[in-house]
This record gives sequence, structure tokens and C-alpha cells, in this order.
Amino acid sequence: MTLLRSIENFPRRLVWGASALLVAAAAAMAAWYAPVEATMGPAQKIFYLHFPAAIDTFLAALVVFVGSVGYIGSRRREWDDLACAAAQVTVLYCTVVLITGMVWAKSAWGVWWTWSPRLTFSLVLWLLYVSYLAVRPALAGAEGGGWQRRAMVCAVYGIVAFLDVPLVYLSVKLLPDIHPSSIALAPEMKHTLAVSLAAGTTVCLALIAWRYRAGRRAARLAADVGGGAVARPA
Amino acid sequence: MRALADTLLLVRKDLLIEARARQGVVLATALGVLTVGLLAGGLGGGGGAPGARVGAVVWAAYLFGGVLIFERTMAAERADDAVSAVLLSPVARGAVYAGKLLTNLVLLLALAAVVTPVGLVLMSAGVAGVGAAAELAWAVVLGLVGLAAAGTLLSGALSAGRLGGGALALLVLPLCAPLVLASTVQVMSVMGAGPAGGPPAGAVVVALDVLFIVTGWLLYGVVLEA
Repeated sequence: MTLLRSIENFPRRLVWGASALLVAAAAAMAAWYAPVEATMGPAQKIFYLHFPAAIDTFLAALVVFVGSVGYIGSRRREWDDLACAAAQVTVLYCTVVLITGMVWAKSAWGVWWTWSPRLTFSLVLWLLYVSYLAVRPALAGAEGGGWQRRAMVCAVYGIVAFLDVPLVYLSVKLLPDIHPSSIALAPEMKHTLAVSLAAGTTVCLALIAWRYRAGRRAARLAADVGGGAVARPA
Repeated sequence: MRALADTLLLVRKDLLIEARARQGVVLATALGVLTVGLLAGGLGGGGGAPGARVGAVVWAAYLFGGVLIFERTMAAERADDAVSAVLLSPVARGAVYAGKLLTNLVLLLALAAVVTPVGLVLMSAGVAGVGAAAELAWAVVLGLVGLAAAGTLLSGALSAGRLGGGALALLVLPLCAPLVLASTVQVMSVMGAGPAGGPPAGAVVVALDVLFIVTGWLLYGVVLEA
């Protein structure tokens, strides 16, 4: 519980300030420090957004898994709120991956979408966590529902969905691939990528903490209203 | 042995209920045939080898029919709170999951036994010989085991909230996306239209089956008692 309390009371000004600095540094390095790639030209610079977003999607999905396991183990609402906050960030980052991937595909291959394994993988991952978020409100409002039922269903789904991820990757490898498996990077590109990754990860963790804090406040307010501590509107 | 006997007893109970009511599998099969008919009709004029498309078409029917089956079998369990009696009986939670999984699998196989030949005929996709037919049947069975395992777990989790099949479909479909992908490729390979290279599709399907069965086995008792 100490971990969850520290997430809720994270030093907001410090974390958001560091995030802003890192994002500004990454943007400046991508614009002026990293050289223009010979084959793709300036469009390659979207890689500094695409790659960190892809890595941080997995990080956020891992937090959904941890929150889900935490809920199954303890049945405490805080863990469900953490999983929900992380699922929101997973969908946000995966959306960034999909959009930047489509821009890259248009630039490199002349089409907005192709059923390459990695694009398909990102789409399935996005669908997995969009479904998680889409089904939550319906579960809370269902007859015989309530937050416990919603939390249980979401925890089970969050665990299976995360364990499903490596097999989604394996299954999409069955499709023919035109995606680059590795890209040769100049040292300036590697430095820019490292700063972009640090910025993306800091923002990812800050967003999870921020959404978790908002979720906890909403839960407390709902409990207060339910218990009569706050007057219901007429 | 005791767990096996309990499992078979639960399967017998569920199949007897289904045989008397004849609701789940009849509805699911009708929906499956309708899905195959509509998709085959829509794709009728399209290009490409029929063998490359038939896997995707029949899998769409399995998924929609499957969601209906999962919903019906759990609704029967929740009616008059029958599940409480099952949970009070001295039966291991794993056996309860295995029983429900086997029931769903039997009903899915009944659905596939009708839908798959209809799909093959409507898509004009031929199977070359008994050996290929056996390979196709094996590929379908492997895929349906995973679908039944994931659907059984999620229908158990959702049924207590008395939600409709919409939420179940929303959760089962994306979770089974890799299963559909791998199984479709496996069916394509049997039909001689599979892509070259990559990991063996059958191994990916088996890995997904194992994942869904193990997580279902571990979590089913928890979700029923919640």
C-alpha cells in the first residue's frame, strides 16, 4: 500500500517539470542535432516519437498487469484504479504508435496501412486495451454489478490480455513482413533516441500517476456521496 | 480420477440441459450459417484463391456462434442460482472450469461440423483427399479449444453481472485475435494457400490454447466466487 500511496502523492511539479524539460530537449535534438537520414529524409525523424511510444506502451500494459494481479490478490480498489489508469495510458501511447506508424508507412511504402506483422501487432494490442476501457462503464452499471464486479472482470481480462501479448507477436510473425527489423543509427541518432525514450517514459509514468490520482479522488467522492457525507444534488 | 469423474458429471448435466432446451447450439449454428452465407456472398466476386479466404470466413462464424454458446451455457448456470449449488458441492474449482470448458467445446464442435462444410461449399474451396480433410479438422479443433477456453473464463466472469453478450463479444474477440490469425494461416496451409516462412502456425495455436486453459484453470474459481 505504501507504493500505491506514493504513486497517488507523487511530486507533481517536479515530475511534470522534468517531463517538460526532457520533451523539449528530445524535440530540439530531433530537429537540429540528429542528422537527416539519407533514404527516408526528414520523415525518418518520426522514429524518435514512434519507437519510445512503442516501448512505453509495453511499460503501461505491464502496469495494467501488475494492477490486475494486485487486485486479484488483495481485492483492494486501489489496484483496480491503478490498472484502469495504466490502461488509459496504454491506449493513448498505442494510438501514437499506430498514427506515427501509418505516417511512416505512407512515407516509406506509399500506403497508409499494410498488414505487416508489426502494424498488425500494434492494432491488436490497441484493440485489446480499447475493449478493456470500453467495457468498464457497462460493467459498473450492470444489474448486480458495482465496482467489485467490474474490478474482477477487468482484472481477469487485464491478466489474460497481457499474457496474450507475446503470442499476438508470434501470431503476426506468420504474416509476410516488409517492416525494417533493424535500422543502422549514427551516434547522434542514438543520443536523440535515448533522450526521447527518457522523455516518453517520464511522461508515461507521470500520466499513469495523474490518472490514478484522479481515479482515487473520483472513488472517494462516490463513496462520500453514497455514504451521505456529500449532499446529493436535487 | 475423482476430478475426472466430477468433470464428466458436470459435462453430462450441461449437455442434458442443452439437449432438452435445444437453444444454444441451434441458435449459434443458425447464426454461423447466416454469417458464412453473408460473407461468402459478399466475397463471391472477389479475387484470390478460395482456400485463402475460407479460413477467415468460417472463423467469423465460429466467433459469433461461440459468443452465443458461452452466453447461453452460463445463463443456464446462473438461472435460479444453480452455480451456488455447484460451488457448494465438494467439487474442485478446476473441475468446474474443465466441465464448462468441455461443454462449450462440444457445442462449438457441433457448430463447426455444420458451418465448416457449408463454408467450403459456398466458397468453392475443395479439400484434396481424406488426409487433408483430417488435417483441416485437426486445425479447426485446435483453434476451437483456445476459443472455448477463453470464452469459458470470460463468460464466467461476466455472467454474475447479468450483462448481455455485447460485453462478452467485446472481450472475447480481441483476445482471440491471435488465435484467429494463427488458425486461419493453419487452415490456409492445409488448403495449399498458406504463406511461406515464419513460425509454425499450429505451434502458435497450441501455445494460445495452453495459455487460455492455464489462466482459466487458475482464475475461474476466483471469478465465480466474486
